Amino acid sequence: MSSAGKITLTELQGLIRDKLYEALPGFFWVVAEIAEIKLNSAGHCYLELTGNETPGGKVTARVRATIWASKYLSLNTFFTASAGIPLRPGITILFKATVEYHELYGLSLNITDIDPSYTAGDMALRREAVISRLTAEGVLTMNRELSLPPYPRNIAVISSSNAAGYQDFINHLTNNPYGYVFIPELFEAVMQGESTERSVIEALDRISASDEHYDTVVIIRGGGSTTDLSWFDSYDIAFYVTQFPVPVLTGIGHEKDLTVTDLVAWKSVKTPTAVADFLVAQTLECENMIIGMASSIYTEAAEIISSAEEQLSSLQNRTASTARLIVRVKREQLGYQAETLLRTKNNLLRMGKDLTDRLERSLHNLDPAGVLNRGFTLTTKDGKIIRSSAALEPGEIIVTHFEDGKATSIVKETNKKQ
Amino acid sequence: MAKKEIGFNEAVKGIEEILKNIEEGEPDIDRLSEDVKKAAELIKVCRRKLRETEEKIDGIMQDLKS
Repeated sequence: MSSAGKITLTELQGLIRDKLYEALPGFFWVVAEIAEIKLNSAGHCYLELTGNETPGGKVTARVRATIWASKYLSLNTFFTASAGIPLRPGITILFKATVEYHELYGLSLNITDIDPSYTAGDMALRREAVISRLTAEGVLTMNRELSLPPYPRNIAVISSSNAAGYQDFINHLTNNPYGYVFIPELFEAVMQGESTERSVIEALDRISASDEHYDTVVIIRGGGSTTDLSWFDSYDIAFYVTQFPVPVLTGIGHEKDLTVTDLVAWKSVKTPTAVADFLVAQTLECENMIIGMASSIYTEAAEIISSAEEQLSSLQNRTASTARLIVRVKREQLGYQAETLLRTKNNLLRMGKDLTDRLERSLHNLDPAGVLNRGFTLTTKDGKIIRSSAALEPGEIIVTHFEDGKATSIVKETNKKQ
Repeated sequence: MAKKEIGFNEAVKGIEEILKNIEEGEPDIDRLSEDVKKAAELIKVCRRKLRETEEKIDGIMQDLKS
């Protein structure tokens, strides 16, 4: 091997660079996933990009890339605003880059532009895939099928204790205008960045394992304006929520589209404050329902009393009128009887008079004087009245009495009637 | 020892029985005033119970509102 043609490493690297630039001039639009992303103190952004086009997501290519500070600020701002998420590990980007080769650092891509619509589309596709999977598994609506207690009092809160949203939530809940008492308990979790998924799931696990019963779980975050919510499109978080035994309420601050976690939650509102307002409104509804029931009971009771009063009045009237009727009937009966009695008395009197009249007449007829007057005579012997011819014997002296005198006779003979 | 007070329904039944007696039975004048007096007493008991119940309910509702 000849050493005549030897070159230094720097010369070789220079050679590679020159050949590379010659072979790959200009820029390329490249699709890759961000594996790592770091910002140094000077504001330069260093990324590690991977390619994994094979099914199963195995990494098939890897390269370093940079976005110089002069570009990074405007690029990241524009990207975050347009795609709805910041540049972060796990997302796929379509970027414009030149291939750079540095003698000391080797190959890297210098990113000068990024198309946010590609990432947005990709995120949307991933989100759709998660929703499809949850639907296919039949779990998408499972949490929504639970029922929230009328008065959700014990509340497990998954949030970061120093998040502004958490403080807002607690303030709204405890200073509600109706004085309802809620008992929130914080289950601390990281609500942004790569550890969001693991941290939120761990918090859900702690709630499940707790001896305390919670009426609802509230997942809230908030404060930052352009924050990355795509972590809540995670299949794992969403699946945990669907399987959770109590209703899960979310207030994770979505702007346009709901995250998948919002979608599977029992109820999702925009902000932590809105979650607190919802809980207060729910309790107010419960109280109104109770007041309504109390008022129905009162109305019902008043009706029962009034109908009982009517019944009593009717009984009273019937008793009084029946008693009066009986008295009147009896009085009439009595009157009739008295009349009968009077009539009977008169009849009796008349009958008595008739009788006495008749008797009188009879007596009158019996008076011998009267008899003699009508032409009859009376015969006596020795002063005794003779009633039978058998009492007389011929030759006996009898006296015949007339009305106006008497005649003395001697009996010649007596004959009995045949 | 105080006698246990007659219940509302029992009292109403009593009034109805008396009424049935005098409406349908052979009226007995000697017993009539006694019966009517008894009925009136029962009605009074019922009225008092109703008024008391009403006052109690009002009290409870007032309690709820305060």
